[in-house]
Amino acid sequence: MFRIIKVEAKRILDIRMLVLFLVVCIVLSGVSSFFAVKGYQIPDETGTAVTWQENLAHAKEASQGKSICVEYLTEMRGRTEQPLYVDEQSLTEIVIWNYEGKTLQELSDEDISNFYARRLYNIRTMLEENGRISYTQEEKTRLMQKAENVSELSMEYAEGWKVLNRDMGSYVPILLVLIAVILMPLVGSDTKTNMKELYCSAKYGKRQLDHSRIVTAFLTGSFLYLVGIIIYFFIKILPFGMRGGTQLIQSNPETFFSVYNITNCQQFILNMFIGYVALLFTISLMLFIMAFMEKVMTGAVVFTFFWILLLVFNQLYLWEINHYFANFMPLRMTDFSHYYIGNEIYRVLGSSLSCMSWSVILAGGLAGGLILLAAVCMKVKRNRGIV
Amino acid sequence: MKGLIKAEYKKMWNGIAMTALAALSILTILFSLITLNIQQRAIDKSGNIVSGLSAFRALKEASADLEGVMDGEYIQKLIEEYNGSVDKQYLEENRGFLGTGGMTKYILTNYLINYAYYSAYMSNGNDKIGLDYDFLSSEDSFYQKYKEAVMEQMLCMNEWNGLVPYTEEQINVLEKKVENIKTPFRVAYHTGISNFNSYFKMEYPVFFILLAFCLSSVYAKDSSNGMDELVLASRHGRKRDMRARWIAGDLFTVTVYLIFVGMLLLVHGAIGTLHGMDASIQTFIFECLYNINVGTGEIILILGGLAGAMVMANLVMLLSIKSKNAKLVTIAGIVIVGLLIKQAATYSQIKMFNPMQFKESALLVDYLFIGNVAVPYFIIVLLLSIIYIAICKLLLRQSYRKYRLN
Repeated sequence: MFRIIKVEAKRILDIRMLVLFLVVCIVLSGVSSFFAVKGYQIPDETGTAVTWQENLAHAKEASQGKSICVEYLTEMRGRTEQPLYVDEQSLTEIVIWNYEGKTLQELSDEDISNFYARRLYNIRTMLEENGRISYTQEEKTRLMQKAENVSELSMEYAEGWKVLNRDMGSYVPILLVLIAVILMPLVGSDTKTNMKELYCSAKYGKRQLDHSRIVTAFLTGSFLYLVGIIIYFFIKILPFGMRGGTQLIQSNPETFFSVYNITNCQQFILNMFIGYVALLFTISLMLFIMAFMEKVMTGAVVFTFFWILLLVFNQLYLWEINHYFANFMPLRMTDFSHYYIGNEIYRVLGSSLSCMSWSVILAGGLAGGLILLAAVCMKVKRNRGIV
Repeated sequence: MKGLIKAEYKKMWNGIAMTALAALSILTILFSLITLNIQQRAIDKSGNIVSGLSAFRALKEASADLEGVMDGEYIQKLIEEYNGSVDKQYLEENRGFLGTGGMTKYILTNYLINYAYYSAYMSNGNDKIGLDYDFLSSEDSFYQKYKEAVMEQMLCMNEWNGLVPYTEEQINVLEKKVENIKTPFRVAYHTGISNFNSYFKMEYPVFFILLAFCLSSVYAKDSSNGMDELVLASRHGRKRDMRARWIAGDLFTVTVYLIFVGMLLLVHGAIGTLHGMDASIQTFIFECLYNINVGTGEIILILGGLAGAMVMANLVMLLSIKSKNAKLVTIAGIVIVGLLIKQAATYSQIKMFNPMQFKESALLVDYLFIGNVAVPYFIIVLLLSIIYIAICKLLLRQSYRKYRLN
């Protein structure tokens, strides 16, 4: 079986295909990095007031040893000039979020001393006023306990990790589709080769070949996913530097109200893991479609239209569709930001699960089911002599 | 030749085409049923809220008494009726109703009236439904205000996104056209047609992807219905058969396009009915300058969409003969669709040349000036499509003789 896997892996991932995959990953990561860097340029009427290098250098230097506390907020409140650099803007944004539109300069001493209590009050209000989910007292207590764990926020430089985690949601879905497209000919047959009759009559050309192909799909897919993520990680973080991995995600204005007490690095690893589960689902779905449809192009049609359906639902953003369907599908699964700020929960068999946990469990289960179906489909077609 | 075209056309209805069409049908039906069922609510004639798909029938029933010609008497009656209505009271108490999929029969008339006030800044929502305007005192003053709003919007659009600023003479030409809009307007419930229009626009790019799948193999050598040694060696294989494939590809595009549009009409006809074809187009597209009804407007939009689809089909066939690889052409086709969508999402007026734009309501609104002659955008679309297709055809013909399998 190992030899078959090796041969199949070589067939599907020849050197030309591997180079193409690497080029696409490098280009996508490069473009993503370019636009992320461009976002740090500060324009004025004449062109660029502050270049991205100056902006990041200022942030690295000015934010050293800084954390949100009474002294820091008081110091920043006393400044008369407009926030310009990214470190100042991050703090300004967090303050605006925390104090419902109030700027730093408008804060009283009492406001400043109640910064973390105010954050907890906002989270509690969000839970209580959620129009979609009515949380039980127990759920609210559990979420608030998690939120209370954040008692001091370091505001040191972590821009690399912030953009890494932010833009992962647009890179990973493309990576998943790319991997699935590469793996399609593994099970689907090409009209012009017509080799199926020949290898099906060979000694190991039946069940063993089918199972080897399924294993090959997962092994090759996992390898490509890892390579794709490594490329993305290094190209994306290169202009920003690695600093800030151990900083809490709440220092990022986008995840300031998150109840997850995790660091930027842990968020990246979590995203990577969720992305991997989404990949397992994508590969399983692709294998099932290919086993059912047989032909590569016909299978590709079904696979493409399935992704179009997910894309359309994603654009419409209907809560019911997301909650009961899209959250377990690869596109929404890899839209990582909603896990950290959505506080969406599922009540399963009497216990309350976070959206992240339940999506991973259910998508994993669905992937298993689809693989089983694909194997059965292959067997049935073989026994009926369709192939 | 006729027999050859027929044979090639038949070959195009292969597994890929049938699967793609089935997938598109499922997508269309599922998408419309699910989204409209979840989102829509309407205030019925008794003032109750009806949710889901039945909201459209309830709205149609409630709108029956609003049908008619929007003259002075109609406007005064409308103000009186609206001010004493349950709908007004409900909208005042539920400020987010109209912005979140809620509907009242008064959106038909009141949005048009509010457009006369807000012009380019008009949007949907509870704050754009009121009728407390002085210009509603007479029919003349309302339509005068309406025409000013149309003119203001055209000038604003030109200032914000126009390719070239209008000259004084060009503004005069537009003013004359605005003056020529026939009033009073005929009002009728047309939400079903409106739904058709929205979903047609949303799913149009998906139709382009369908074309990429179905036509990528026309001249490919890696497909069962593509080119092979036998075809190329036959008497008419190199020239006549290749031309027959091109014609069959175009016929195929027209057929699947009609199926696509027909299916959408069927689904939205069943949900919201296709009532209101005879209403004035201005009650549907406020800034339209043509004196036509909604039905005629829809036909122009559908024909524009067909022109765009033909351009895409010819582009895919051109790529097919150039690369000879169906899979590569399909991927390239999907990438092209992605780029066209991105370009169409910009504010730049360059998008007027984008085939993805050929189904937009701009067809019934925009003009392109050649000197002081205002050429309607739908004529431009027609000309552009002919030019695009002619270029594709020319490049295709060049590849006939040079076609080699290896």
